[in-house]
Amino acid sequence: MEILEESYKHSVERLDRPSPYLIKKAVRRQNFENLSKAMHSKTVYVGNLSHFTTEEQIHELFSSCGTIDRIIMGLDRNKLTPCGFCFVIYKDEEGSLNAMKYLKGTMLDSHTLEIDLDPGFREGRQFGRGIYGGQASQEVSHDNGFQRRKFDYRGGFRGRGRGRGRGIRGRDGFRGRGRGFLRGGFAG
Amino acid sequence: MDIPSGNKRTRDEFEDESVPHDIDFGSKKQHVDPATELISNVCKDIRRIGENANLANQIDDISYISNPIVAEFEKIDKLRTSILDTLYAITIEQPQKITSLSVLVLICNSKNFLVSKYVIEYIHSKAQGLLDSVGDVSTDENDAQKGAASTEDAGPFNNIKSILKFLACLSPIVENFVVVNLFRQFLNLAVELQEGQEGRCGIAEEIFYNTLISLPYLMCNDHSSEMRDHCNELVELASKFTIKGNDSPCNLIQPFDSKLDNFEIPYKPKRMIDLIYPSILKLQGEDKSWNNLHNKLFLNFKEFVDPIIENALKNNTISNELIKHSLPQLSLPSKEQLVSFKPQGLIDSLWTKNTRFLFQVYNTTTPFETVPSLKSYHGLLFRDLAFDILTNLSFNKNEASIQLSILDLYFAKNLFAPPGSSIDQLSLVHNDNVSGENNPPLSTWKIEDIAVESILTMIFQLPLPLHHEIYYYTVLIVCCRESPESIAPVFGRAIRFFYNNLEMMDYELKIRYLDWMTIQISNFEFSWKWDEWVNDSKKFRNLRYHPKRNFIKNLIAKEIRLSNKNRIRESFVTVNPDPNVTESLILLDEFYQYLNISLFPNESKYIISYDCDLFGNNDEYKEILAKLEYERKEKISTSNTISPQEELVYVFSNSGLPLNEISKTVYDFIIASWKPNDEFKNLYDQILESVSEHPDINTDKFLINLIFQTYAYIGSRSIYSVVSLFERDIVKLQFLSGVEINEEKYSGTDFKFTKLELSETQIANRQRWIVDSIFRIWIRQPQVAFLILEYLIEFGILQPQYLIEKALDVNHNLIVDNISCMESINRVLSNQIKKEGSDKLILNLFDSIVKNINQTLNSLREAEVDNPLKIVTEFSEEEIENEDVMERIDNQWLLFEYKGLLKSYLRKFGEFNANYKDSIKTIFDELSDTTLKDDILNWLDEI
Repeated sequence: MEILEESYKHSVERLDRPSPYLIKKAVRRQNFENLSKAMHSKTVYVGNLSHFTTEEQIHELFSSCGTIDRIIMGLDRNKLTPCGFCFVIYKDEEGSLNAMKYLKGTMLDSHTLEIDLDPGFREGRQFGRGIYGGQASQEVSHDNGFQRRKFDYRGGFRGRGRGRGRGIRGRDGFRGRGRGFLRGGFAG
Repeated sequence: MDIPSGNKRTRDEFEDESVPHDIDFGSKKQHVDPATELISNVCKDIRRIGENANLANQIDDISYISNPIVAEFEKIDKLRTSILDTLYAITIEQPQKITSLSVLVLICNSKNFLVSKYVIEYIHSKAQGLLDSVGDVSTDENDAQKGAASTEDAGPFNNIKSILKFLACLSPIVENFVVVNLFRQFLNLAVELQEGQEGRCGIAEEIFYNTLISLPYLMCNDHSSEMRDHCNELVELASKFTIKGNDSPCNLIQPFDSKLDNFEIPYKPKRMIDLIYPSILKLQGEDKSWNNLHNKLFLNFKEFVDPIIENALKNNTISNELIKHSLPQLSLPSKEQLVSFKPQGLIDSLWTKNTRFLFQVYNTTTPFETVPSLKSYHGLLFRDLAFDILTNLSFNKNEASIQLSILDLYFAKNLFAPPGSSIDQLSLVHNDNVSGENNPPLSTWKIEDIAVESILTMIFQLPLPLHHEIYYYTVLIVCCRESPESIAPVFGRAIRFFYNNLEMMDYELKIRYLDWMTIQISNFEFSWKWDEWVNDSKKFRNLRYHPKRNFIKNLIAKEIRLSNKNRIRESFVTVNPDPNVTESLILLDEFYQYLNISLFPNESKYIISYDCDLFGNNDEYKEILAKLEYERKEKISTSNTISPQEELVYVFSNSGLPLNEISKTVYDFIIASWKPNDEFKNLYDQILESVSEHPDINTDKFLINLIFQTYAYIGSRSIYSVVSLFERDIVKLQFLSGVEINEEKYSGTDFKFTKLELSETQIANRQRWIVDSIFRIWIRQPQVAFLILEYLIEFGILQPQYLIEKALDVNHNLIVDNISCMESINRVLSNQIKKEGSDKLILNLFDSIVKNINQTLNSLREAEVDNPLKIVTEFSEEEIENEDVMERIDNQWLLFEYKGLLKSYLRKFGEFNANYKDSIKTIFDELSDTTLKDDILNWLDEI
């Protein structure tokens, strides 16, 4: 399958590809049907939403990538309240690819969005699969007292190189001019 | 059934490293074919070439990478094709790396000349392929059909520019200066193509610009005097190019407008085509020695590369001499083909639509340059590279952002100030430069400013940005998130620059500015230095249409749409300047007023008056209606966490009001699942009968309001709840609203409605009341109201002209006042424009705007304003409280906002056919002020 082969047609990876999660799942089960569907799907899965984020907020952000057909909020199976994920269905395929390219990693309600192409919504998928009815992983992490790891960024552009891909000499690639990661406002 | 989370791995478990994975992919590493692994490693290394500040190490790395390439290039076909693809992809997508990439090819050439032979031939064939695609009309059409796939690319001519640069860098290993011939070919083509045209020829301009901007690359690796002479010849040849059509001011696509000389625009717009040749002359120098180029632009590879090449040649078993390759000329498309060429590529089409202007943000407020001047070759080159990266790397915003931020790494050291330098630090550097303490002077150019200005140029591109705006916004977000310390102040300066020039900014660009700033600050906890705008908010408090007040109001409204009122309220704080107090933050209550985002000012009064009118203006009912509204208002003002649904006031079911029984029936009908059409018809008749018992109540108006408000109320949980309700009952609502019923919407056995016998006026009224009813129920959440109305248009229940009419209603001027309305009308228009009969809709739009302008002018004349077009900008505190004075000034702003709106729509919808242009002119001729009319008619000539 083309998606599984490394391509050199571009100088960096495209962001509108299915995530490693979907690819590994397909490889493990040797079932590529969902992967093919996801690549031409008008639907994206959106994860790591705040439980208080509304459909209108999601619409506001995601409509910047294309006209939205429907948004299906992920619900806690027992309480029927939002539980941190949703499906955004666009009118055109371009919308879902744009959402992958542009919105992955942006923030909504102080949460960093996780986005993936989705093979398509089926009734029932809007409900959380956790023991308590919510999203399974969130329940697990809360039970363990863990908080979800936030988006992991490198420490500044100029620090790139070390640890990012191995050089053919098996050493740590190139050196940059490292600068630390600090939060800052717009003062200046 | 409960599914234990342990049984099935979820996405979050997969991505969450804190949860142990039951399958560790790392430990079960698949056996990879050594050739595949080699290809992957080599190509990954090639992709990273140049990203190293230490030049010696960089060259050392490149030399090392060349070893497996020269050894395996001929043996492994896949390796060869992958490397060639990678080199081409980097050339096109990351042209800043071209010079470093060329070093790899030069070194490979000295070790195994076949590698470079392949590379040169491959790149040449790619260039020829791009040129052939220009002449091949069928390809062009196919591309157009492919739509999304083709719109990602900058276009053949823009990409040929990068190929030219690459070949120019490879010139030392090409025979007889043949690369110079390619430049000559393109310059001649541009000169001849432009000569053959009476007016401006976009493609000729592009070829000319691209060839000249690539020219200095010829001297990147070849410092010989012979090459210098060739370059001087090329410059001589370029002097023959005549720039045509530069007398048009191109007002339609200017980002700033002096508003008939009321203001001074921040900078004089500059055409790219006017700048390139003089900048090359300047770089060449009067003595034509190109002294400003050597070691002052490109990295000085020579001292590191030459020994490697010499050594490699010495050890080369085939030839100890440097092998040079042949390069055939390119077969160019004919002039006829070029003249009729309609580019699909993004940057190519930018050149053909209009001549290109450069946007400026920085250098306008500092006494020194933080970005290289537009008049210099450096200024043009860095912007050009940034545009290419942004356009061709749009599929990976993160990489685009990184590459823009490290652009300085690929060029001579000391060309830029150290990354992250603050303006204060640069001021000191500048002072030392002026005083002579720094000799030679140090650079004050900031790479962050170049990156941000280039992205902003793309956002503020007129008539349209090349990609979805959100792409550029998110590139900026990535920039800021990666290096907040150095980028955030750069953004701060850009935000202030735009804010300070809001009075002059194009109507459409103000929307993009709002959009960008909202997304930007929503990603950074909504933090902004609101204290800077307190005084303006106070000064313009009684000027509804003043661009600054309007901006603040709408920015907050948009922020609320992405968050909630409480969260935004909390963001209105500033640091207490007094360090001795316990409260470190001061609340900026000035902005609390904007948290009320209602569609109309004094919404309670509007609601009560609207509802009273609906119920026949009866005093007894008025009391009940007022009580309902004030109770709700009280609740809203006392609670910070009230949901949008709780803000709704739905009055029909109130038992103190008439017709509450039938209203309850309507409620039950809609909340139930789908019901047959004949039952709806019965309900319809029943409502009419009930309402007819109340002679004071307007039957049709009540009917429409009752039904549509009830749908909206029942579906108020979310947009898609209400939309699915409307979608379920499209036929019923089409019947009710008086429009043609779409027969396809009936399913087999459905009862078919008999079309109501309504006059044109009755239909129009019903349509208007639909808009009113949705406005009324969602008055406190305009965005929801407009979204619902857009869906009603999509379902064929509401005709678009009635929403547009309401948006342009001169009593409220929503299209100027409210961002949700502006955006909604833009969406409606862009959807309608694809449909038949849209030209009439647009002409009506122009007509309405012209009428509004005339009406505003009349109000100003009636108020005896001496010169309605001379905007009053200074007024005293007393005058701020004088309603008449403020109304006059506000009308002046309104007038110019409508003018801006007209320009924006003319730019978007001005081109249908020649007759259409005449019809527009006839409408514009109705403008009652000659100065205004002349200015607006000039725009028509620019279409």
